[in-house]
Amino acid sequence: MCDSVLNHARRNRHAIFYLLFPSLVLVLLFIIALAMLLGYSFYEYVRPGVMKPSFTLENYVTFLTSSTYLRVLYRTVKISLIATVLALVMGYPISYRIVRTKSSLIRKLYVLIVLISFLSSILVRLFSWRVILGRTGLINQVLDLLGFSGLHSFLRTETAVTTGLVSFLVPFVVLTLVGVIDKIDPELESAAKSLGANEITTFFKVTLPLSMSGILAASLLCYCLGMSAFIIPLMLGGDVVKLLANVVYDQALLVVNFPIASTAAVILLVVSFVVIASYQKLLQQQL
Amino acid sequence: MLRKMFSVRNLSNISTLLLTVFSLGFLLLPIVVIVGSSFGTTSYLSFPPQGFTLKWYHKVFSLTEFIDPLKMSIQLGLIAATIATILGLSVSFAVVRYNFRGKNMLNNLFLSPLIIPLIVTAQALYLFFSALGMRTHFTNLMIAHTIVTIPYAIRTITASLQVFDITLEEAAMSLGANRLETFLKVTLPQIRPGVVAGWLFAFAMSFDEFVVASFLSGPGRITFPVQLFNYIRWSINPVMGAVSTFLILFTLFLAFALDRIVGLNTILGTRGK
Repeated sequence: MCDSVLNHARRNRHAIFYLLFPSLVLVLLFIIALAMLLGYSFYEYVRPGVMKPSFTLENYVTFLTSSTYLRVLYRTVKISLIATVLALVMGYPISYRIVRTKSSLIRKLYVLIVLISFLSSILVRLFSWRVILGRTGLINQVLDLLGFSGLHSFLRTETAVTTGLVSFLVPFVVLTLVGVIDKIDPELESAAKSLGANEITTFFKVTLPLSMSGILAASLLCYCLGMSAFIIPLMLGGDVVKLLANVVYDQALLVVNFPIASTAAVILLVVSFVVIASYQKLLQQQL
Repeated sequence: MLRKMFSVRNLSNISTLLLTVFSLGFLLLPIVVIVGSSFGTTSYLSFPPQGFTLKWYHKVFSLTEFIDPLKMSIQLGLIAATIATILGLSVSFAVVRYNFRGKNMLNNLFLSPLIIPLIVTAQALYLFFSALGMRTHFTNLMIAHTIVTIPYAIRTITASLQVFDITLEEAAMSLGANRLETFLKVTLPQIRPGVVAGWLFAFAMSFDEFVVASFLSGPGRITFPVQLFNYIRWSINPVMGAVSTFLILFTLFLAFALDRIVGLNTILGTRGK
């Protein structure tokens, strides 16, 4: 009897690898595709749609010496960092309230708002931000009431792109942080308070340090999503505020210069991965 | 009395409450604005809306240019989410239940489409499909969306497999059930919420995906988000406001469905109260 169970397990050990086979094919396809991308970044560009197999670093030199590309790279990193900080500042209180609110109804309401924002189409939300940030939009109406008149549209500014990015990121922050804050024992906070610490001291000395792993994970996620933002700058930044992903798209599909598009994609990947790797080191030190 | 009202305790409580309300308002603002403005009578979307009309909603039904893309996105979502869930199930099962060399690497590989920027994935697959001469847009999109949505399925299914009590399976097998029977009759019913949630996330992701779709769509074969983008890029047409409202209703339905099936606590990874 025991034998037959073991036999089952042994035979099915193979079965599970047969089951894995289709997934492995898919992953392999993905890896080959990424390898091709890397390979093309060393190809020579001849004319739109045409490239020559070779091994040249020319595309990287072009990218890293062009002030236009470097400005885009700098802007992408800058906007990602600012949006990450703002998303954390907005997401942390929501997460904290979701965990600590006693009324289950209010708690559910908070969660639903975050979830609806998270699940609703990003295109729809950006469309709406265009209505809000436009020349006659809500923001300008409010500013007009406050006495600032003759204002221009906020669209096609870095402010607009940052705003859109933050509203995209906040739900990700909340979904990451709630689980972490939930694991903090409320007794620890009570203990700190009973020993004479006030709310603010308790927060900075107890709650915040204990949620640091979640904060680091959330900021990493936000930074990566910011670095790869594509539709947000496309809808809110137009032709003026382009980010790195937009350069990849333009070069690949409009200019049809695959080598430089691939180069931009590889640089995007490297810049993201360097940060992921150093963050993971930081995370390990934290634990 | 006054002193108590302005105590540190109350002030910090009020400040986190205000920050929370402000942040939630910031999340709700675009949703409220688009739904509200879709009822206005002006020929461009404005908020607060002027007047009240349902005419833009009537016009939605004559938007024939959206029928094919909508069909395509639904088909694509159903197929990609289903394949991703089945593959995700087998991967999660292998990773949770078996020890083998390269297990962590395998898991990370399957989750990697989450970390790799979508634009990089999109361009890599575009180059791959054109190099191989694969010109069937639907098939290409199906493969691409399966790759992109697998991580969502794996994450939710792995989470539910990890809390599953393995002794139930052992009991079933010692009573003579074979591995397949055990899986179908014991394991699957237990982890069903995770599987369904994984499928829903995968479908939602595929249905809303724009970057990969804009690379891999072809003339006459475009997905719903790509078509929507074509219409909202340059104008703030109120008919698109009505379309947006329908999409938000769909989201509401999805959120309630997720709450019903798996519960909000599971989605958030909290213990619940």
